Amino acid sequence: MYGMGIKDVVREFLRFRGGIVGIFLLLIIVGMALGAPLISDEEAGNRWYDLEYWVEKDLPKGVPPAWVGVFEGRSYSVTERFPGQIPETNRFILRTNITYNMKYDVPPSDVVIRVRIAEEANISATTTYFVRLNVYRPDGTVIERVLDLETVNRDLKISLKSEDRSRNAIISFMKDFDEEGYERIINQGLTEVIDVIYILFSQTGEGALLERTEPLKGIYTFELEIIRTDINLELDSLELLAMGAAHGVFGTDTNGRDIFVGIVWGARVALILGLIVAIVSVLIGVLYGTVSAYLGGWVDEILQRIQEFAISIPLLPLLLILAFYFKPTIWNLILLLIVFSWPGPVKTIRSMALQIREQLYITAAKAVGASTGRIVLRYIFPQILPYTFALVAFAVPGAILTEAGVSFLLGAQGVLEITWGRILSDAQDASAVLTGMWWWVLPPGFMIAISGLAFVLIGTALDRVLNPRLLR
Amino acid sequence: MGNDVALDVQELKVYYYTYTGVVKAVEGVSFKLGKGETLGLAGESGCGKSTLGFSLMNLVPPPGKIAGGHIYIDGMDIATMPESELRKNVRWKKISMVFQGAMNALTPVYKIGEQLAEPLMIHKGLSKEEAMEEAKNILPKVGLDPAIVNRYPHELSGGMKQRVMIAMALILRPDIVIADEPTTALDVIVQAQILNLLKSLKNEFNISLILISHDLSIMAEVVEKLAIMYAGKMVEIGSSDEMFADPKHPYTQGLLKSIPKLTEKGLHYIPGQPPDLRNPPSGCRFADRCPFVFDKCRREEPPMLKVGDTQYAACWLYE
Repeated sequence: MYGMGIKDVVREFLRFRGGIVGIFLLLIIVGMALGAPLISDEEAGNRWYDLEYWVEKDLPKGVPPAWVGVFEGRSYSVTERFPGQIPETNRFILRTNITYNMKYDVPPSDVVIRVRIAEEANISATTTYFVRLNVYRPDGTVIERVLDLETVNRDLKISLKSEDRSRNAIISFMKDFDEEGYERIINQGLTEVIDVIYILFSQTGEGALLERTEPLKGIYTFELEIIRTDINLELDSLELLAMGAAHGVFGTDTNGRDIFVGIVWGARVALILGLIVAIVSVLIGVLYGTVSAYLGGWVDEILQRIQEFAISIPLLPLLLILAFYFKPTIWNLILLLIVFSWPGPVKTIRSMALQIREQLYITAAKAVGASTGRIVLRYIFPQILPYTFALVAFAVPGAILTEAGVSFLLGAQGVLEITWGRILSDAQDASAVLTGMWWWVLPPGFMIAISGLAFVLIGTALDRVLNPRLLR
Repeated sequence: MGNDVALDVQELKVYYYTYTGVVKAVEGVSFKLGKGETLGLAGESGCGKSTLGFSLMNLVPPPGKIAGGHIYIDGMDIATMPESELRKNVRWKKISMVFQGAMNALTPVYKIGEQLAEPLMIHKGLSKEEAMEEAKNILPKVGLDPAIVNRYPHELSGGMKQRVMIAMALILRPDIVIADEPTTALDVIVQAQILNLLKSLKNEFNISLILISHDLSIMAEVVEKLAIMYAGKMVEIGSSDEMFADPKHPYTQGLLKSIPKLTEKGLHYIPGQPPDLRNPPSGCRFADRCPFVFDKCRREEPPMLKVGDTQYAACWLYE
């Protein structure tokens, strides 16, 4: 092993298939981290925790990835925008029809109505207007007064899914066709939880309320009425948004955030944190172990007792408390992780250095007049250096996992950057597992596992190549 | 013999403080080494000759320590000097060493040139380029191609490595060079080459040489003065002519007799074992193995007695 050139190491390394797989996985993660601004919107990455920003982006909430339809053999509806004609009239009632062709196997996840009042309107701020919505379905049925409200809001955005009036109107509409289902909804208090938008777009009949019957394809007409109380109130724009039933690479969370954005930007934090913590703490540990072994005697004794004390501190609980009090940025967390993970390699390195310091060339170096620092850095350290690379590779997954653990447990109290652990924590808070939103849980989980796996595979291969005891 | 003293050792004691007791590896050794003189230090394994060699640089490996006595070089006492000053002013500058087993005395991870350059960079403050240049200049003197500065130790043969070690010992032009078993792991032909090299370099660089070996036949080739050690003590010292012609101490006589001769049948040896150095016997340490032992030998330690022109022996026979 000693005197092995870089080329030899690379050639030996490539003999281990696991190492190649590890390199491949690592390249994917590095590609994500470096390409984050290209792969996804940079602003989206920077404003991940700014929920208002995500509301503005009008992404469907809590929908699966776009590609699930391919596997299920069903077409998922996509997000579509329909601007409404603003009628030119002097009457108080402004009526417009928006048609929507529902041709998908899975209907939209939500319908959003947006009404903007012209700013220059010469009216008082307290002037109200009414918004009414009737839906004409392809089977000839009509759901009346899906919306019926009075408001002063100059920029009104209503999601039918979360509007009580709409929910009740849709459920009442279907009541005539599915008495039994209606009974159960009332008796079990399910009004708040059932997916009314699905019912809006589904065929009438038994089970329509609770059993997610076949969707009703065809042209839906949304009749929107704005009733103004002051003739000076002018409309700026009207819009209907049919929110898709699937979105993007990894779907969205319940706040309408694109999970793919979070995954891609999370790779940066994971890599930076993992590598910095691993390299710095292993270097500290290696120098500590080498110095301890080389100096020997009572210095060694004291250094070893300090190391044993440091390594026996239970890391996670302490990290949680410290991270909570320090309002952590990723750099604080990196510092804390280094402070607690440097003792890891000390014992192994010390035992290696103990062997090396007994070599004649160390005595020779002393005789030549080399100082202690020079002997440690130039004579002992280079011998241990190759093994250090393997140690670094092994230390990375530990750091990433610990960060994920801390971020998961602290949630919003945790680090301020996007991390996979934090995404998992948000998923947990939204009961993503219970509501079947696997696309919110599996991607970050897999990314954590894959990044750990990549480094372990590389570390194992490096260890086999560089550790003299394991090579053949 | 030189007209001046290069090294003056007085009552030197080197002990190893082990868990099972204090091993008195060198016990009250005194001798003088003249400038340009060659001293052979001989004795069987474990007699303390290598320890003595290391202690002359105050570099006894732990748990060993210089426990008493003085080592004067240029009026400086090496035995009591602080480590930092030893490093700066003595080691390699005044006194350097060719280590036993040159195979392992070179760092595997650096090129020969870089290792030769190391003392120059540490002591003379030369830049790496200057030091490498000087390393190239000294290699022909030990019979090596300057091109090997770019080789790693594992690319060289044992003899070449030994020559590199000799070059390294000479590179700062020290006054004294200790050669600790310089030929032990080498074959006979290379041994002869190395010894001739040492001899010629000694004259060229005008150094005082201490040759440590268990092999009296190579001593006869090289040294001017011979010292015999037994169980941590110097038992006899004198000019090599006198010592080989007329050894006085029974141990020296036994050693010389043990050299196999073509003309005689059978091997001679000295029966018995050297004493345990953790608690050496009172009186003469050789008493148990000595064919001429008598009462006084076991009671009192013999002092160094003058037994010839230049010869001294620690034996009651010559009182």
